[in-house]
Amino acid sequence: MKVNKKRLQGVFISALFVVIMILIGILMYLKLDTLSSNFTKSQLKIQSDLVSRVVFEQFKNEIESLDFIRNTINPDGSNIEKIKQSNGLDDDIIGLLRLDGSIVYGPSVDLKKYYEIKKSFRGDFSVSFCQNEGLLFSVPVFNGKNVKYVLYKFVPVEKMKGYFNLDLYDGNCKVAVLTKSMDLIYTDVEKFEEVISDKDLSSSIKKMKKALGVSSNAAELSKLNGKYCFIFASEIPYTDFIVSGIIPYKMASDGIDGIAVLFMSVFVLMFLLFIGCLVFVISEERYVSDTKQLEEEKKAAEQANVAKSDFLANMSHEIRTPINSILGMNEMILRECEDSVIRSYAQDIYSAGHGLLALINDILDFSKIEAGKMDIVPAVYELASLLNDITNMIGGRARSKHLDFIVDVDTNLPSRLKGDSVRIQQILINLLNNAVKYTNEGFIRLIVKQSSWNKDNMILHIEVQDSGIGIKEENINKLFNSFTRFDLNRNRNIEGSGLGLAITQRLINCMNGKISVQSKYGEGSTFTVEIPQQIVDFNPVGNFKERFEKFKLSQQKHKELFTAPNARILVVDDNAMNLHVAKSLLKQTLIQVSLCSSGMECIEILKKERFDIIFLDHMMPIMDGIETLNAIKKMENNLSPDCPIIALTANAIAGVKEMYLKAGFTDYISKPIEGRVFEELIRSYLPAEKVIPVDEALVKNIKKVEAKAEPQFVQQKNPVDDVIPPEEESDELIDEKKGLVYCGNDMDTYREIVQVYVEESIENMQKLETFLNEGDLKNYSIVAHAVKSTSLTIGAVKLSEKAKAQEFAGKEDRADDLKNAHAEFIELYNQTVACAREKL
Amino acid sequence: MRKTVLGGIFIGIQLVTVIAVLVSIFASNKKNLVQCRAAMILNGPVDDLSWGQSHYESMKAACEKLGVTLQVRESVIGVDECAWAIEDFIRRGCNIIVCDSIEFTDAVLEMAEKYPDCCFLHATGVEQGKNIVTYFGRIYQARYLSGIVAGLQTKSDTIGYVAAMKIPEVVRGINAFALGVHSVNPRAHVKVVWTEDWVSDDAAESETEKLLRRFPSIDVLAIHTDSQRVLQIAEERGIWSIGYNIDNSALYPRTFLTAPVWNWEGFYTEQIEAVVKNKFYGRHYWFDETKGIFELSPLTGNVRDVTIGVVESAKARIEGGLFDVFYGPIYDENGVKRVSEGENIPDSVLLNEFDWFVKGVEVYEGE
Repeated sequence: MKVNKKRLQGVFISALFVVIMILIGILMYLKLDTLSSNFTKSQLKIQSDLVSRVVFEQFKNEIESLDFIRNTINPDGSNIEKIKQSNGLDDDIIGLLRLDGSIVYGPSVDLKKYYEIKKSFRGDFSVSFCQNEGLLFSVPVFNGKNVKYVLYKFVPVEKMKGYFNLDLYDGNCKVAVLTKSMDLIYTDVEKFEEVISDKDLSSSIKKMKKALGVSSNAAELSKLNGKYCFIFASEIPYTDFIVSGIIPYKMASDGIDGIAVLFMSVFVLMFLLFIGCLVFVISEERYVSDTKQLEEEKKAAEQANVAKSDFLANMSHEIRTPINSILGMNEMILRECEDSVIRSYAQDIYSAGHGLLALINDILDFSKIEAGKMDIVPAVYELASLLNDITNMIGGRARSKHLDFIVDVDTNLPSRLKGDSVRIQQILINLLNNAVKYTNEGFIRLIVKQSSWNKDNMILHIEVQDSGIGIKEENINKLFNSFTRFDLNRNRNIEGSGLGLAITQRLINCMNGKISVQSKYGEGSTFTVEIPQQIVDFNPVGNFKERFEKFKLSQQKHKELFTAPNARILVVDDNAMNLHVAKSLLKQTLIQVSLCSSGMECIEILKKERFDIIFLDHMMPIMDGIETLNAIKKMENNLSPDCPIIALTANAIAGVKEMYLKAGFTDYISKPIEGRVFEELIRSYLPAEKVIPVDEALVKNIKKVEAKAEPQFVQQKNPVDDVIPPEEESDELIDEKKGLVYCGNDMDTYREIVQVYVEESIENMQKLETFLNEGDLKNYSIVAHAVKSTSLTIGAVKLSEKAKAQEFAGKEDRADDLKNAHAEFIELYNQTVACAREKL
Repeated sequence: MRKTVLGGIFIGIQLVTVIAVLVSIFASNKKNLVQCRAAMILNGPVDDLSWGQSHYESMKAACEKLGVTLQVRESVIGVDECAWAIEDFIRRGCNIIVCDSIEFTDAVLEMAEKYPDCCFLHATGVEQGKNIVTYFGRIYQARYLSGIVAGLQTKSDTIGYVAAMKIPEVVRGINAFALGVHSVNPRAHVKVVWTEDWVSDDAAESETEKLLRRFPSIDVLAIHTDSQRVLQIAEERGIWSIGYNIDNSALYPRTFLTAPVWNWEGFYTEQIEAVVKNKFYGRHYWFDETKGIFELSPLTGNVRDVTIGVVESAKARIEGGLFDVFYGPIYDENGVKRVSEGENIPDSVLLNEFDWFVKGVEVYEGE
């Protein structure tokens, strides 16, 4: 509708313009016509003036000849005849009049017919005309000062033809000499009477007469016999006569017409050009309005997208907070719970939770890319290390599906590269995960090589091949669309957000790389990725498998454990569960953790206590993290003014880190907090003197000394690896695997622990007997507690449980229960110790 | 977007062109017609019942007919004031200046030269210029006729003539009048006094009184001054009077006989039109009886019956073309024959040189 209206408007305006232009064209033409006819008129006026001058000169000649006679005349005029003869004026009609009109010489003159002759009576020369008779020239003849006679010369009509010789415009112009009252004196116009009585012409003559009333000359455009013509007239000076003429239009305006035609053709050209421009502009305008509409729609879409982004960001916060709690608490369960059933449940929670987290991370990645906020952060990395991680991760999954995972790495690849290893890893994991997902039997192959390189740069060429279900040809193009999954019937049981490949492709684009797919439906697919990378170290990566093994070893040796019993950390979060998680995660480091649940509280605490690190949640009611930070910085009585303040946030979207650093935070850590990341972060910000590195020997000692305490070393491995796989109810007294977990999977340590255990057992059994006999239930249960813990440490779960029961019985003063179970307990104890001895 | 801007610019240029064309079409149409503002400088008041009024009313009527504004300055005395008044009017945008007195000649000549785009209409003037139209009429012909009326009316054969000053125009009038008187009453005398002022009532009154004291038998008074005092005195004293410029018969019902009167409307209309059409050019007009610029006003009931026929026949004789007022024989006041029978005084003398009086004229210059 709107467009139609606009269009209508445009058409209307153009029509208006066209009409205006046509009107102007007509006006211009008329104007031009008037101008050219005015020009012609003025030319004709000049011409007629010239003619009138010619006639006047002729008249003047007559007057001069009369003057001559006057000056030589006798007072009585008797010698005129003589003068005539002597001057060769025999043929001229010359006469002398008295003032009363009577004749002195020559033919008589009717003074009433020749009215102008009065001028001569009053002392001036004159030219008079009487129709059908002729022209009369007269001069006064003075007697002293007074006028006595009038001398005249008469030119009869019959002689006129030769008298006036007026040839204008090569004879095309017909001329007449007239009196002012339009009495004809002479004309070369044939049938003059008929001509001037022509209806069109006579009205023009009237106009001309009027014009002559106020001017000495005039010209008018007229019509004669239907043809345009000009008439013009000019006064003959000092007389009452005019010279008048008639000339055809074409003859008069010859040449000027050409100008009009030229001008009009130029105008028409301009007009056409104008129309063209108008059409162009209108169509352009329509285009512009269309574009505007599109732009508006685009804007709306962008706004919707922003809303989506906001929604995702909010969702990330809302989802990550509970997941933080769930995973954190779950980790506590996994660490602390000894009940294998519950642990297996927790394990399920763990994997499901991390799956959910991965999904959210996918969505967040995608939203980052869509928002153009995905930052590619190039850094130097070890190619082998990158491949190690991937191989580690995918290898397990492939094995669990009984697939062959073949890693084929070019030995000549440079060992160190510069690029965003995190994103490359993500790309590879996505592709390999897909391969694992969609391959049910056969193999998965990862090929890594370099396709081209120079001094500094190379293109990392990665191929992921599988023998999976493949992709139909028609679907290959849609492959990288977001949320796209094919063959839903077939793949229903395959998990995934459908974002993996979309993210992968966009990440590759971000890194100026490219990805291509070759696939045969039912036979398998090959994804080829090429990413440019900078070369840092040309040393070849060598045999990857060897390096992988070496790396594994180095990784294991690189376990860095620490405690910091003197360190004080403050965690501020409005969510009690988060606080609990944070505190629990740090239990093993012996760090003194203070908790508070609001910004105000935090400020109060800072006045009284000194801290080494403060963790500050961003999203808090009343006073959020940034406000609190600013308040802290302004505090005067802050006991720990230079202490690093680290943001805790669930806002894991792009640009957050910069935002927090800009706001004044020292660093940031995203929730859910991962134990290992958390510890490393703390270690890096703690003063070096407060960090006490823990070596394995020390761990053993601590274990020996504080058998009842929780394991004190930090779990350095990924939480996945921490998990003790759920085991079947075993009949064995000692579960070696379980014991090994508590010894950092070190068999030597385990043996040492078992040794200690065996040595202690005799003493413990003696004590138990003694305390039972003495009825000292309290000390009995202390020993039982020790047995419970140490037994668990070596994997003697059954004994541990029995000891636990005895411990509780002792604590609760159930002496009978304790006594009844004692024999059985000791017997089990002996059996376990015997079993332990075998392991030494 | 850029294309649209270009298109817009093009259309803008087109529009400007169109407007320019339109402006040129209409502007040049106007150019042919000169915007007129007329101004009039009178030596007397506009309501002097005489010369000034005759011009003012004619000019006013002409201006109203043509839609031209008219400004007037009355009772301007002398060349300097006239020159100042002309400049003042020109400063106010006037481009037609009418001056009604020969007194202003020098001012008109000076200003006409200084302001060549301004059109000057100078009544009774004789000095011409490119942008000066001078004009007068052969009103001596009407005076001749009024002389006939006076000659026939007087019983004492003594006729008073109160005239402004001795210049050819006035002399011409006195002589024409006297010739008219003598044509019907050869015994009659015309007694002339000079007021030496065109408009002064006092001068007119004192000179008239002087004349009447000297010649108490005067029973007809004619005037060639713009003051009405003479006619008022005549009405008071019961002396027949012949006015000038305007027919004031209604004002002096007892004594008014007739007056040579002017009607300039046609002339002024023509001249303003000429200015409007940019066809004004300087020249001299001396209209004769055929133009209707002047006439003898209708004879009143105070005129003797016999007079009408005599006047009519004399008028016809003049119009016939075989006679004019100054045809000989004419004798001057000293009895010298100045113009022989069959001779005529040429216009050049009448206009510029006439300084003698015809027989029967007696100038009274005081005791």
